[in-house]
Amino acid sequence: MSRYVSKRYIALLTVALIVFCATACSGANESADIDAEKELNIGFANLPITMDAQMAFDSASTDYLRPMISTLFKDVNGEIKEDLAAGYEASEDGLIYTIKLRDDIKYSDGTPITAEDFVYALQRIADPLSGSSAIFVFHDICEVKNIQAVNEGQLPLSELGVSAPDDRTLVIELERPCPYFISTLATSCSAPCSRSFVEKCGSLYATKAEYILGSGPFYIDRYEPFDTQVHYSKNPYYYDSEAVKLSGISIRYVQSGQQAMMCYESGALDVINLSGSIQELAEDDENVTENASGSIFYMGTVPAHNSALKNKNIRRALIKSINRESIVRNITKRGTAPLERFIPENFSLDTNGNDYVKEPGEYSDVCAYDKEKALEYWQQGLDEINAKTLELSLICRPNDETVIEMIINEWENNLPGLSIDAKVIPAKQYWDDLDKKENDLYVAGWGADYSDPNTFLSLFISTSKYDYADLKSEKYDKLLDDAVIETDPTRRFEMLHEAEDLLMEESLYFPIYAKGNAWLISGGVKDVVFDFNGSTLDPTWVSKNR
Amino acid sequence: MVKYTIKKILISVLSLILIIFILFMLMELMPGSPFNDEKLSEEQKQVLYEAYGLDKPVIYRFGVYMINMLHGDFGDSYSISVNTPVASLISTRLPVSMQVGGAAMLIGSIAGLALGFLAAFNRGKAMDVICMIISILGVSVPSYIFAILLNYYVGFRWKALPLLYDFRIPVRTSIMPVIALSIGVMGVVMKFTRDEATMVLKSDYVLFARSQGISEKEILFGYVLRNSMIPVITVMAMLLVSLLTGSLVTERIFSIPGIGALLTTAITANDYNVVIALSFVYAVIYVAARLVLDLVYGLIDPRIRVSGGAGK
Repeated sequence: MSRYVSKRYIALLTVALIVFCATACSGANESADIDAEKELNIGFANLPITMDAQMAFDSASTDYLRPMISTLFKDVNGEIKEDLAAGYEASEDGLIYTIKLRDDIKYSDGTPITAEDFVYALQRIADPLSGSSAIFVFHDICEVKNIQAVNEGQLPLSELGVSAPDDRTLVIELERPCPYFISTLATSCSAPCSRSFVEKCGSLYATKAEYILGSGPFYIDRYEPFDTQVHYSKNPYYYDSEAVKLSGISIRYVQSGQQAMMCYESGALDVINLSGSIQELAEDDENVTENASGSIFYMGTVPAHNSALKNKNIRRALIKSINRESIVRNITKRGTAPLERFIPENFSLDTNGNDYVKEPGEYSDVCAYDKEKALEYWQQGLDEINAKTLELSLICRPNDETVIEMIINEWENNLPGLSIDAKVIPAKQYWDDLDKKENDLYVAGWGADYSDPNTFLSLFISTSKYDYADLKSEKYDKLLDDAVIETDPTRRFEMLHEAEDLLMEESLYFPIYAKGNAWLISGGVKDVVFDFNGSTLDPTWVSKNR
Repeated sequence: MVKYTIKKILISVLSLILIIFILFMLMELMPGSPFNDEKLSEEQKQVLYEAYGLDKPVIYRFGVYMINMLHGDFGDSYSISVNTPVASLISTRLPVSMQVGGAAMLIGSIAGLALGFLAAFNRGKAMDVICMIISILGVSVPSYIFAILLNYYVGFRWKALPLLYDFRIPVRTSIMPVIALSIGVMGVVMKFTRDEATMVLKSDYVLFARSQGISEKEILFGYVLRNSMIPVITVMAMLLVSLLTGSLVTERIFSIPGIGALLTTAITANDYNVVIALSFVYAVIYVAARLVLDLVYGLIDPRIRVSGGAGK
């Protein structure tokens, strides 16, 4: 090719690329409706699996639902306050709740919210055809009257223990008393649901923005399943719309932590969740808000599979050889705290505002890291089982691998003769493998469903499938059962405390750390509120000044 | 030609049926279940299995699935987007991947062709070496490396373009992913174009044309371009399929709501309907591209269809 053609060629190519980039970069026709400066831009690392409040029970869906729904009660930093409810009364036996609704409540299309909408919401959850995971709330946490029979199709939906004598009154009947019932009415699945709207949308309900009705401070105006961007605008019909300062919210799905951090630092996002490797980047950042009480991570023993674990000294040696401080400092970091018991600090307050945990170091003698004491227990234990060495099998999920490596390292260094054969099992296969009880030790975690010690302690009652260590203590079961019907909050906490004493004394389960959430919130963003475990962000009162 | 065409179409349809059957069986072998929530009791899981018909034998489900599929119904998502029709899930996500992938294909191909010819006409000179270095980089460095570099420097450090894809400004926010994806296309197309064009330039008819005093411009457009395009188009068709079906990592970096992330999320969540439907879409695009190429070859080169038709 001649030099002339070559040059023309290069020139043409360069011009074409420059024109393309310049046109695209200018974005002249594209920036008209961008209002990111006045809106709250949030980055989440997960996508919602549904925007149908009654079908949602996963934390990601709850996060996306929260700006656009209101519930009867609201969890404001762990304190349950009235939201769509004006007040309530509970019968003396604690089985019937009569809830009065506010007068001025409407959906985002201006239609009024009535008590019948809450009846319909609960019926949708109980309906066997709906397949809602949220049934856990009204069947397992608190049992609404007849819910089991309705869910199994033995009784019609109309027999469910919920009714609306008039537009402003809702009555819910329970099978047994539940001291924390009101807090279940703050979960997103108990948001009102308009029967006429659902029937009008048919199978398309909640699948796109136009098929979703808001009842909260914002309504959704951009949503498509599996989209990376969800947009909300202020709901003019919200009963307290004057308190809502933001004009809108944009939630971005940002899977990569590094990407989220860059977006935060460049101002594209105002709020991000801190997790994984980016925690180090924000280690000393004063804009970090953290809460370390929403979930507990523990290790369980399976004495039924290895009789050596029936020996309490062996178990004590293992529990005292876990360096929790080091795990939190080096691995789990912000939003987590060492856990030397089963109820984290600042997790549960009684009605008088007293924390369930009065003395954080209460179980130090059982749980605190102490190499010498552990060795003592270990040698005593080996003598009792007449062994010189011990081999234990352990399973964990991929996310727990680093923590487990650290624990195994401590154990094998501190306890001579101990060897651990650890296997990492895919998360979706994990609980099936646990059910088989084919390993000696396992790692588990549990996220609190409500802010009461019962949410964690009930895992270990005799009828629970999660009691893989077979605690099977009648006394423990009775204490938890009695606590349910105990009306004196102080006495109730004492009973739960006694149960926890028993659990710690047996040392069949080894608490490791408590986990909540750590958020990075831009300095100009004020009045961000979270729920009791710091995981769900409530943007109702947020103001932004950047 | 009609017999050849019918045969090719039949083979394509049979391939697709076989692919769906194998997919169905593979899904059965996957550990876990779509309702893998430790908070659901066995009874509640059973209710869900029955509600979605997952308690029925796999052959029965396969039959029902095939019948529904012929009516355009790919079922609903079980777990990644509960109760959303899979067809609607794919129809909203696929266009985004296609737009970004299509633009990357267009830009990468134009740049690759241009630089490929440039290298061929300057064979052995500095321009050829520069083009080959660009090509090797484009082919060997994965697109996500370019995506990360662009994102960090252009988006974060220089603030020239937004870091994340935004549906309100789709063109501006697609520039970085499109460039990142197009570099690989450019590298492959450039290499093929250069090799083919070099071969054509060495051919007797080009030498003859030159000896006849035909201008370089006429040789380029009249001889080299036409004769070196067939193998290049074959490569481009296959590249187009891989780009249209989404680039997982690039989509993840720029938060593009495309089809790549949808597939991987569905696999980890055991969302059978989504996995099968998406894999089927991938297969259809691939099989269709192959079919079109086969038919085009048959048209261009009669020897192919004669040997294909008469040989069996």
